[in-house]
Amino acid sequence: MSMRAEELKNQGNVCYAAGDYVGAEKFYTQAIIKDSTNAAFFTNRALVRLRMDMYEQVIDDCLKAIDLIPSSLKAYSYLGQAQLKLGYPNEALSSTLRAYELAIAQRSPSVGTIAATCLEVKKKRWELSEERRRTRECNFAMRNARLILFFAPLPGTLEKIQTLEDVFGKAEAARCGKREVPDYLIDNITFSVMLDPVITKHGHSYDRVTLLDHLKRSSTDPLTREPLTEKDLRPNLALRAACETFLKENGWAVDW
Amino acid sequence: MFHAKRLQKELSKVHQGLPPGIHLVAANDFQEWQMDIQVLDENPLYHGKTYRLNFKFSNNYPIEAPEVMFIRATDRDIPMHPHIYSNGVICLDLLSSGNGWSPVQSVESVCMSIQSMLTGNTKNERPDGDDQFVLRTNRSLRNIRFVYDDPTV
Repeated sequence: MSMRAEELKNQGNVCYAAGDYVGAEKFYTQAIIKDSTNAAFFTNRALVRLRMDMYEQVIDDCLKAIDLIPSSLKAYSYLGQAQLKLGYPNEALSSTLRAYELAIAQRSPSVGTIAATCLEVKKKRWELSEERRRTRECNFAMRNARLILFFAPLPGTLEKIQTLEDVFGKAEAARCGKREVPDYLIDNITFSVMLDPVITKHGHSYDRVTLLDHLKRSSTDPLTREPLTEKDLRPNLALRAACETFLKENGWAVDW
Repeated sequence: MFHAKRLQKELSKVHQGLPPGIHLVAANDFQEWQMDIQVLDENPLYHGKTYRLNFKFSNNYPIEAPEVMFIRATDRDIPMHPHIYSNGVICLDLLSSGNGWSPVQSVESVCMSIQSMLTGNTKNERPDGDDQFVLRTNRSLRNIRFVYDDPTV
């Protein structure tokens, strides 16, 4: 009479593929009730809940899956996406970076997508901090303006406030205008800021994911054309830190 | 996957300026662009003429080489060169899908290589077997395997 857990999961997959997320979620839940030791049931339910915008529940499912399989690439990936949606960019970044490390180690074909998500999360983190900064500065300017009005209701006060607003406006424009990325942070293949730079034995650095793509086609250093294999690559930690710092303050550079 | 983003960046760099003798004709999408090139010195073979290049990008660009060939248009002919077939196909190591191509190359650098390939040429001739080659090739360049028997090019 009752279906086995694996069958329930398969039913869930069928629903998911057909776009019936509510149905899929029910089947995965039943599968978990039958067998709560299978991490795939949790990651599948996490994915469908991600589609249904049930982000807190996604986090619960992912944490359970990670308890069962600490190297679960899917769990870290969905966890990061849910944390980002809930407005926790720092947590989202560490989950997504963990997913990236696992994808590299497991040679997962989804590594490119995960690398792109890492950069998106960095951008989002910057946007949120920019928003906070703007609110803070705006409040500060308003308070100053009010103080001037309160203590110095003299002729010319309005003009002074106007000047103050101009100064803030100019500072903001200067910040927005200076949108340049230093060349040494740019990957020569993607022309974007690097996420995980690796250095070759010839001293050139590239973003890992795209360089590995290139090495599949041709075992050469793209710049020098000298022989190069994956074994010759070393992480360039100082450059990675430089890219990381730059993106923290210039999240726009992800889309640049 | 990132080919559109990379081409977008190449395009904004192109709009900032190109080397002398290289001009953008059309870049309406991230599949196909046209570029015009001129030879700048007094080489009598190409003096005063402009040639048009067609670039075709796959979704794997720049990991994969773009397909680049000369095309005919009003006032645009196929330049005479011992490595350029009369249907516009260019025999250039840099553009081959083997080890010639490198993903650090760009539309601009390819145009410059082709420009200098013309600049250095003195022979007013087509490759050997041009007639047969033109008859049997369609526009699918990726399957063409050239034999590079001239190391000076």
